[in-house]
Amino acid sequence: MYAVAEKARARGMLGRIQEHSHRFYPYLLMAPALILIGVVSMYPTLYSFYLALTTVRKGEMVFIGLENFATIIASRQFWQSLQLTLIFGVFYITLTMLISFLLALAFNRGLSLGALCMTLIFIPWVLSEITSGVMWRWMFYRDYGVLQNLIGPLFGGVTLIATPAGAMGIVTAASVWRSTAFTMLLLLAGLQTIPKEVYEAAAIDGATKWTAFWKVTWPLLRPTTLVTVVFLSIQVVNAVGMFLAITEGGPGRATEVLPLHMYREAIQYFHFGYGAALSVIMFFINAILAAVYIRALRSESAWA
Amino acid sequence: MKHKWSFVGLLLVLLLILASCAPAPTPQVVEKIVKETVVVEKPVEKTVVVEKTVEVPVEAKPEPITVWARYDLSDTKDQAAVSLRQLISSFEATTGIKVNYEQVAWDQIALKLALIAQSGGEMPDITELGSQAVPQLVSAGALMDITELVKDTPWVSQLSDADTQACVYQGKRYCVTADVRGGAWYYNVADFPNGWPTSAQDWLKEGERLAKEGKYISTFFAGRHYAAVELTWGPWIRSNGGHVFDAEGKPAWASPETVEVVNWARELLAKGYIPETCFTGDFTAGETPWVEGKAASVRGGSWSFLFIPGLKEKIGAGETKLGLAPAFKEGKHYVFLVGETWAVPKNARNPKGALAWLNFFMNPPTLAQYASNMYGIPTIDAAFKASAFDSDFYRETAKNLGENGVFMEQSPYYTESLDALAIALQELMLDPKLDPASHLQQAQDEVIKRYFK
Repeated sequence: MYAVAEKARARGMLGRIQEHSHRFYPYLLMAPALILIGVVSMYPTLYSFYLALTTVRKGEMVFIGLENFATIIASRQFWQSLQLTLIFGVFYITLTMLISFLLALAFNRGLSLGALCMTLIFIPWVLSEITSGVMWRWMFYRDYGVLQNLIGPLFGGVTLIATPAGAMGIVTAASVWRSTAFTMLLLLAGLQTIPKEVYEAAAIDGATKWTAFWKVTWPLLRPTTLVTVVFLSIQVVNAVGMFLAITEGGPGRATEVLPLHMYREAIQYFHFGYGAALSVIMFFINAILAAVYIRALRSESAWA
Repeated sequence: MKHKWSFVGLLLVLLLILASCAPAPTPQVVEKIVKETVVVEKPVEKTVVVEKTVEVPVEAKPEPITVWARYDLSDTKDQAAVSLRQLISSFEATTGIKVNYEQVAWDQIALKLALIAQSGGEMPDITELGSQAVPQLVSAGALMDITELVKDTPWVSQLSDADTQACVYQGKRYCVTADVRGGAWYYNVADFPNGWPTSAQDWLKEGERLAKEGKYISTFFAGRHYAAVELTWGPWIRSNGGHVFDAEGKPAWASPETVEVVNWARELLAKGYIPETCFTGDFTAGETPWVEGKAASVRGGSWSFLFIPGLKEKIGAGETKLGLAPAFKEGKHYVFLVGETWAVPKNARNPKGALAWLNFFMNPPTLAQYASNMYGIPTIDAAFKASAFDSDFYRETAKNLGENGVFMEQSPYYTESLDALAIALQELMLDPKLDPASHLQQAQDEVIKRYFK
């Protein structure tokens, strides 16, 4: 670097330009990406923030300050949607993690499934949300639905999709079914980074398989697990496709989770300001989760 | 040296990106520059040839128009699309106006118009639009008041009253109704030896008889969607003397009349006279019991030939007929009516072109061709006299819609209000423990509090 500066000084004006170009070179390299991100990501985000402070009255966009947020806070539907999102999140994350973890452990221990089984596990992940959602909805129609006819009698013959708990259960099951494969891959990757020597050392120290799991596998997998949980939590905050395709938020408003509530307000009713205010709230929830995610990643790096 | 060239290269790439982002110049050719050679003779011994550039104004070509409609013009199997394609060609040949056609999904047209009205993008010059979206789009500032634009046209005075109800909002015209379509009850003749029941009470009697035979008296869509109120609940409530909206467009559904209708429907459901799918499924699921022969009748619409399998054939064979909707206290067999309209969005670039489009489409033979392809009834009498409508189906449908068709009352918060009512009604149907009066009142109060401050 000193040599370049020295040479530049020696070459006068042209040299100084070259020296500056070296200083700005990294920024120039980043510029196309930054411009792109600015245009497709930052601008819409900032515009949403602005939109959240407006409403449309007689066809004119009017600045109303924080009124949309006040309306949201006072709205029963918002709190109900938030509550439903939390309920969905707890069941969805718990079940997805549990099933994925068991599958990942099994695969890590050398479980070999046939191509058909592997395909069955991975098909849900590659299907679109709407396609799989519609499929699940059809399976739970009364009279015609395969799963309704199989499972319905266990619940006294009620139409599961027509009851609040049943509808939420169906969407949760469908969402778990869809995301298990990907979550399992993340956990399996985490499991495979644990050196075999650690297990061997534990075995020499007389650890049983159970002890090895709690004292070796679980602590070493903890950062990956945390990252996966945060990743799933972000999915919960943004979950709209499955709900839209399976229940459309029904019966009544029993499955109208926060993102679906926002979709309805902004897209179906054209309340862009109110919808933007909801999206700002969701943005902050996501931002908090992302902060946890980044922290978890750092902690994972520390472990590595 | 290597770095310097890399830097210069990078700069060039950036400049290229920026250049490509710049808006393309808009061609606005109004005047043509003509090079003309003028021979000037001077009273001297030599003839000098002088070249001179003069500007000669030429007549501007008619501006093209952008049209939005739901049809895929490349679909050769869809009769409506084929017909529209032919009509567009004919329009272009007749007027010299080029049509830029854009296919927009039916349920996305209103949303896109509202979005553009707010974001300031480019509006179409004319768009297909369901009449129920008019008040909402007026509130969103997306529609142009075309009262003045069309007042001197030869066809505006010939439009039926249905057009006024569909397109005139707060005294101003925002669209032109090409045709009206409406709800329709179709029944299997063989299933009703005593005749089709036409009152709410008769439905209970016939429902009991058919239930013993293992059949539902009817099936329809009444789920959690505003269309469930438009098509099913709204006409029943009106027939029982109730209202969904008051004169100002505020919700007015919490009434004893609505409660009576709910109790009647609950009885039908509880006794197994109608399938639960009516309230839990979507449009298709609501019609499936009829398609599968488990229901003796189905509530569809005048458009149902396009969507319900086998309906057209059964009507053709005389096995299925068009019946009256069940009447309540008022004795009216109301069915929902909707206008299929053409609207000019606010800030459309070429309203004159839009007017030319309207003039072309509202010409009776053209209107007849367009309306008949979607099983609609044209809003101009002369168009209905065309041979396309010379059938029992059209005569009966026109009679039914003319005598019993009602538009939903207008409201600036139409969709959100009807959605709220549909949700409340679905909850009432699926949970018999809920009290109808208080539940309907709660839903109404919430909508008023939220939107009608």
